[in-house]
Parts: sequence; structure tokens; C-alpha cells
Amino acid sequence: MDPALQQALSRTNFTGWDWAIVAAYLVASLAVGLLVKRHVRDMATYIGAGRAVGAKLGIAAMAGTEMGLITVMYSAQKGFVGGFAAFHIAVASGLVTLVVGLTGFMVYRLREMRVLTIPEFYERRFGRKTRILGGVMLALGGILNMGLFLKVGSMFIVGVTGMAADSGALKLVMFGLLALVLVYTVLGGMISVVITDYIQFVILSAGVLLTTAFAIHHLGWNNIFETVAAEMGSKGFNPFESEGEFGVDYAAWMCFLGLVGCSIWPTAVARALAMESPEAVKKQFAWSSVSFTIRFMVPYFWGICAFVFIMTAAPDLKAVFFPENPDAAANNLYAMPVFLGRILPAGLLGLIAAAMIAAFMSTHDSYLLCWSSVITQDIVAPLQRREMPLKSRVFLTRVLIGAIGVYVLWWGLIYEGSDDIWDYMSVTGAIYFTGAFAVMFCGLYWERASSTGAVLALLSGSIAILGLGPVQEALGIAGRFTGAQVGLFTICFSLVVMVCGSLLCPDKRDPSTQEQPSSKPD
Amino acid sequence: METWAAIWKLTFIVVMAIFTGMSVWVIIGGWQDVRKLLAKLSEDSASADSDDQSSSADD
Repeated sequence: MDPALQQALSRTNFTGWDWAIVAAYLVASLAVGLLVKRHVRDMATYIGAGRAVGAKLGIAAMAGTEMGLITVMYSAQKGFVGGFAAFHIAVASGLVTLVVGLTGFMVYRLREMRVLTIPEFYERRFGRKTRILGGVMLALGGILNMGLFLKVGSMFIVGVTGMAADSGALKLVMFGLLALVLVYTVLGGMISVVITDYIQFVILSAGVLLTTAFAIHHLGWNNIFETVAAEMGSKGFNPFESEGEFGVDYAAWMCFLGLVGCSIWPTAVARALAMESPEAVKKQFAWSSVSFTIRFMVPYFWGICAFVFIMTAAPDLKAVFFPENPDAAANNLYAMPVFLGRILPAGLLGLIAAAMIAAFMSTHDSYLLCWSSVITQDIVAPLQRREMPLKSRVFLTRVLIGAIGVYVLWWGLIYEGSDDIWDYMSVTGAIYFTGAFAVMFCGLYWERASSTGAVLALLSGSIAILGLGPVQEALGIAGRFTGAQVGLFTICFSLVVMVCGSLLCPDKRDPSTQEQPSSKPD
Repeated sequence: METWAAIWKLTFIVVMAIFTGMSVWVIIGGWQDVRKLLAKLSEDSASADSDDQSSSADD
């Protein structure tokens, strides 16, 4: 690591008291995992918390899952480079989630069908082969998507605590966090996930409000806007300006990401499917629109504040993040944690670090549980000739949680790609959700949708990988298309093949055995 | 640029205000839901145990 960056990162207000706050939180989390273990009796309890989660707990759990440390980090990076114009992503996400909550678009019908996972819906609507293929695409996109979570999350801890002065600290933090999250995810399943999500919401909401107030107090409300205007000009505010970070196609892509993020992304849908009734799902999504907005907007604001702090009050950091030679610039993912480490007082720093570790754990436990249960329930179990026993399912799910954890550690240590974290995530996620959107939308609302159309749509989602920089370079098409353009094309293409495949190859099924979403109240 | 700055200022203030209110509501209501969830799961465990015992007795 560059000595100047090392010195800059080592300056922090983090003290022993802050470590004590973090340790107290971690002990409490483990205790919860152990306490709720005795309630796990079957797969429905392990994966879906017995479908007994109330609306307010569901909102807290949704916020706890979706405001992960990875979200905070990549969003702060977007705010740091894009200024207030990045706010359009938060607004799009919140508005789309509100519409889903008010209308129940897709999630209401899914909950009515009482399925545990999205591929289970594929099977009931399109057959077993579609379920297995859907499970493979889902696990592939999802596991690739979370590949950098551990590394980026650990960068926050290293940055805010000043541990970056030690070059081996990042790896140690990665090992420690992974071990912690694996233990209590394996122990308690969805029950411990939901309850720790609630605890996280309590700590996180207090930490978010206090930190934001502190940043504004430290930098000055007007100064933040004036500095962005002076340094970035209008592109720091107008998201549609073509010379800026974003643009019209990017904004359209963000609207679609907002829709799939709340209605198709399995970790969000898992929350919906664990709710006590379809009506509670609508309520959960309508209120979660606020936290879906906040989860982006607050980190953008922190990233903007880090930018303002570096440009106006920290010449040593300016030399590190904006050197004369741009190629020598430090990784701007460190900007926000270093900023917080310098402006927040001891005690509050501990609270924020605990909140962020909570956010990290909450996201990891949900994702680990989600992808491992998809592999068990939707790939392995349907391939068995006999019914897979419940004990074997829970055991396999726990083994897979460990295996995915090891992959995340390995990928974080070896991956050296130069992609923007948000672009990497949206492209890898799109492998799954572009095809899944076509399949779910048509499957839920179009009677003539067929399994051939579904298989073609799911496969066509893999086109989205063309949006990744290294893939474009390998194919010699680098710079010709943005990730947003590739993503938008993939959605349209998936919808077209879904419709064409269904019309050309309709299913020959006995109408009496065909399962449709029930219209009866739960 | 001034219009966009004003829009983002207003949006940020409104969203933070709603989030503050919602946080208080969810923290209080969520705690009640946690207690209900644990009570229901305990009840389910107890009834499953009693079912196991009665089926053993029948055998």
C-alpha cells in the first residue's frame, strides 16, 4: 500500500471504547443465533421463519437486509464521483418500491401461492425443468454478485478504524467477519436472520441519523452544496446531463433495477414470502419504499460529504485521492470510511462501526441463506429420485452456506478487476433478473406463457454479462456499449423471446392440473 | 443547476423526516412483532412435542 495512503488511513478517532461497543454488539448477535436455534423444526421455519413475521418486523428486516455495508460502500462511491445527481437512483428505487407496495405487483400473487422460493414458482407454473434451470441461473448470478461483498465490507472496517496502516489487516478482518456471520447463519436460519435484522435496524437507524447530523454540522449545509457546485458544476446535480456520470439510459436502467431490486431479487422476495399474509406484504413494501430510498440516499450524501471534506479541509487526503497523476489515485472506496473516522467522535464511531458490521452481517446471512437454500430446494432436491428428507435439506443448506462463504473469501482475495463495484454488481445480478423478470411477469399475468418461453427467457439473461468491462475487452467490443445499454437490451430481448417462445411452443397441459395463483385470502 | 439543487435539498429533508418518524414506529411495533413471533414458534414447538408424545403413547 502507498505510504501516503497508509498514513492518511491511520488517522482516526476510533478508540478502545469503540472496540468495546463493537464487541458488545457481536456478542449479542451470537447470543441471538444460539437462543433461536431451538425453534428450527423444519425447512419452512428455517427458510421462511414459519411464515409468522408481522408487518413492522418485516419492514425492519427488509431494511436490515437491503441496507448492507456493500450498499453503503458502493453508494458512497457513487456520491463521491457523481455528486447530488446520484440521488436520482435513490428516488427511482423508492418510487418503484412504493408502486409495488400499493399495487402488490408480482409479490402479492407470489405470496398468495405460498411458495418458499422463486424457482418453486417456476415449477408450479412451468414445470420441474424450468425450476432447475431457474435455480441454476439464480444461484450463478447471485453468488457471482456477492463475490466482492466481503472484501468491500472489510475495507470499511479497515478504513474507519485506522487499521489500514497494517497491510495484513484487510485479510484478517475478512476472515473474522466471515467466521462470525457463518456461525449464526448456520445456527438459526431465517428466524435469527429476521431478529438480527431487527436489532440492526435499531442500531442502524440511530447511527444513520446521528452521523448525517454530525456531517452536516461539521461541514455546513450550504457549504456542501456550494463545494459540489464549484468542483463538479451542473453535472453534480443534473442526472440527465450527458457529460456527467449518468444520463437518460442510465436513469432508465436504474428504474428497472429499482423494480427488480424489490420485486424479483430473491433476498427481498424472501422477506415477502415470510410475511403472515399477502396484505401484510403490500404494507411491508409500501413502507419499505422509505428505507429503499434511504439506503441509497444517505450513503450518497456521506460520499458527497467525504468529497467536500477532502476538497476543502483535508489537503493530505486530497493529495492521496486526487493526485496530479490520476493513475496514482487511491481507491476512492476508502474516502467515506476515512472521512467518518476523522469527523465522528469516539463512541459514535463505535456505534457506526457496530451498525455497519450489523449491516454487513445482515446482508451476508440473508444472501448466504438465500443462495444455499436455492441450490438445495431448487436444484439438488428436484434432481433426486426420491423425496429428499428434511434433515438432509437443512444439513445440505448449512454445508452450502459454508461453501459459499469460502468462495466469497477466495474471490475477494484474488479478484483484481477494475470495474466500478456498482457496475459489477448490476451486471452479475442481471444474469438472473433480466430473464427472471420476463418469466415472472408473464408467468403471473399471462395465461398463455409457456415453459419453452420461460427457458428461452432465462437463458437469454446470460447476455447481460456482455456489460462487464473485462468481458467486453476479451471480445474486442470495449467502450461500444455501456452496462446500462446492455442491461436494457437484455430485458427487451428476454421479454421478446418469452412471448415468441410461448406463442410458437405452447404448453400442452391438462387445465385441471394447472396451478394458478389463488385469489382467495390467505 | 439551482433548480436541481433545490429539488435535491427538499427531497433529502423530506426523506430524512419520514425516515425518522418511520424508524420510531418500526422500532416500537417491530419489538411487539418479535415477541409475537417467538411466542408463536414456542407454541408450535410445544404442540409438535405433545403430538409426538401422544403418537408414542398410541404406539
